[in-house]
Amino acid sequence: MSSTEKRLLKEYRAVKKELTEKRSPIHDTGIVDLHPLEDGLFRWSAVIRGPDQSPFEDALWKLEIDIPTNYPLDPPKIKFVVFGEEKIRQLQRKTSSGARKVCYKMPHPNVNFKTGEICLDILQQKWSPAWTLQSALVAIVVLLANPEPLSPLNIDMANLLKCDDTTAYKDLVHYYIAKYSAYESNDV
Amino acid sequence: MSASEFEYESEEEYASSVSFDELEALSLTDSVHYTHKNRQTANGLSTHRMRYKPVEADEIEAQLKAHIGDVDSILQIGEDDCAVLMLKYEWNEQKLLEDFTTKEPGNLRRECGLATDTAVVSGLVETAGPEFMCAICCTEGPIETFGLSWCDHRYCVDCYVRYVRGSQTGLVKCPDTACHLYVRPGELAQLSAIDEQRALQKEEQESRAQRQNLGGPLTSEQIMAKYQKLASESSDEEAAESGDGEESADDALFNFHERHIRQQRLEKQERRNKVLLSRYWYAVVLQYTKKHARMFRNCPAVDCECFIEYRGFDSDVMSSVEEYVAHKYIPIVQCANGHRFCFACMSEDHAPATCAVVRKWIQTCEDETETSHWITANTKDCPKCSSPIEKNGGCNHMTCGECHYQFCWICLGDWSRHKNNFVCTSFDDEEAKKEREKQETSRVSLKKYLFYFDLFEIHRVSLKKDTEFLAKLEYKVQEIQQRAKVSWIEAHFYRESIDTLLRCRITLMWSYALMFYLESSKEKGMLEKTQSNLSNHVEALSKLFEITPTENVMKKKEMFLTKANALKTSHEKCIEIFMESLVLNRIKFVSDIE
Repeated sequence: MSSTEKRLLKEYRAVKKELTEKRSPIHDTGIVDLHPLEDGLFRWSAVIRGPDQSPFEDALWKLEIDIPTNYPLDPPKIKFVVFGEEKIRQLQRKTSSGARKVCYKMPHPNVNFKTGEICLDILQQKWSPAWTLQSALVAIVVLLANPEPLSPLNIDMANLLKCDDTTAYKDLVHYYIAKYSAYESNDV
Repeated sequence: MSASEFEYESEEEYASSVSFDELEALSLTDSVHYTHKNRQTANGLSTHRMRYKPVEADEIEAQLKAHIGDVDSILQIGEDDCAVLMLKYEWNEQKLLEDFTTKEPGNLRRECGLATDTAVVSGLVETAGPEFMCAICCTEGPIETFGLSWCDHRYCVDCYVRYVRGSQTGLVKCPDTACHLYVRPGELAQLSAIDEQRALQKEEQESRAQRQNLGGPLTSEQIMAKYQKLASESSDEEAAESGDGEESADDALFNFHERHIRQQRLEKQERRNKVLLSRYWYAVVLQYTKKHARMFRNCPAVDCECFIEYRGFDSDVMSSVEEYVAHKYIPIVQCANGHRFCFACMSEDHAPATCAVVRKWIQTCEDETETSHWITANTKDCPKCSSPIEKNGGCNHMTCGECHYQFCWICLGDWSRHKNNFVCTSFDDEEAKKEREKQETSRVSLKKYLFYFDLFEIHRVSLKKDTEFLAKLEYKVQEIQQRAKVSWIEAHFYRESIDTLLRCRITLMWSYALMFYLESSKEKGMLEKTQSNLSNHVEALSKLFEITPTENVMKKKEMFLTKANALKTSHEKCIEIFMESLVLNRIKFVSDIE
């Protein structure tokens, strides 16, 4: 087993343990779910909850994680799972009880609206091998509450913040959450 | 005249021609080169030579270390901390000293990723017990670990080495996300030492295993492994050979020499990559030279790792390279591997054309302005809708295909005025005259461009062909030299002749590009004569290469030397004459170059 796999397995065990424990601090960080996909340790799926006191509060988002072969020396590739309107409408028609409802659009200044790509320094040049998938996700949750409009991937959202129009920003986020949430699907 | 007398005389001459300042400068700075051979041209024009020094990465590294030492003699905080501070301040010594005196020392150190304690603790590599687990690779102890002097973040040696190797700069942070400390050279040295030691051990183990294998009969697996290794090696060789074959067609320039350089570079790279510490310093050097691009230029030749260090001018008139170029001088430098390039615009040796001419010429060749020249020279615009029309026969009564306007091809006037009179009477119409003049200049300009472009191309193609041809010949000479058992110095003239020939071809090539932008005058005629003189010498030497069978090269040595020398002299003269005309503004450029 390579050291990358060893490390990923270790992370998986730790996260699984924390997620099953009711009183674990992981539940306060906004991480709802984090597990590898069936086809091995190099592709993971995660669900995060929007941080309190932010427009994203209480809503859920799904993330897709690709692990490079020389992880943890190279950062993992993390992006939001976003779908087109057509696909979301299809998902909305299906109802399955018990499944979580997640939002498939991410209107945020530092997230590419079309691809879900995230602009975060620790996922690029500031990455250090001591970060884990878990800590990287926490950083993403924190990014939701603390957008950085000066290096935007979504210029429209960034402009709202630059003009200090927090009402419009908040309402727009709420609008997207209301319109584009659907029951979680397994396709990525 | 005896040898000693000769030396004495030349010494005296030397002293009289060189000022005292220069002598001092020469003795202080070893192997300083100049962009021009002489301080003055034969006709007394000062060349205001630019001083430079071809340096290699290790020399810059030594310089930087000395610089760090100097700063430390003021700050007194240890060279390791100094190195980090200098890197953090991007070698801005003044700013560092200012902040060091004004800022609270604790704050400054924290901001720059240094611990409050300056010492580098020895024995940073420790063997951790079974309770340890490396947070990067999750390997459990007992295992050798490494951590910085003043933080508790320890990782296994392998991970740390890989982590440091992955970073591109001299500022490597402790892998821990919350820790702000930088890895200091002294600490890195310990890591590097253990890494080297391990590599050695591994090598020894492998060789021991091999020896053991040789002793007993091989197992089938070992045979398989050995076979695969050999097979992959031979296929590698084949690939390398076929790669060489392609290369000789394209960039066989200075074949042997280049190959030698590449070999050396690869060896150097391998040595550098092997040792973590030297890799680190190389990254520091690269960062430094990029930051100080005015002082250091990386040789633009493919894969060349040499640098040129700028050392000012040997006259007070010039103060910067920009000024030098503005005066139409051309700062051609030569790196330690013999590649010649322009220090100002970083393109290949383009004397006697100035940097502005080169830029313009390349642009002209690339874009389509010349197509539009053709259009203006060979077509006329419809006077009404201005769509270009080419007359391909027939009478002068034109009807525009686009707007159906009828006009006279000769005077471009309305055809209705010609109805009763087929001889064009409005011949000296002001409008038509202007139109014709415009067309005339366009036509001449096109002709001129095509003329010089052809010459430029001819020499470019010859240069390429010569390079290929001579590279092949060089191979043979190398063989002959080995067979005849003459030392390389005996056959060296051949290489030198090739170099001279190729250099002169490049010069000729660019002189034609320059000519395109010069207004015709007496001076231009003179330049053209110089040019054709050089061209004759080039052809003479080129011919010698062609007619001499390889076997006779050694016998014809004298011929080669004479011709090459004549060419060299003519080349130098040519460059000087062009420089004089340009710098003294004796020749005018066509208006659009400046």
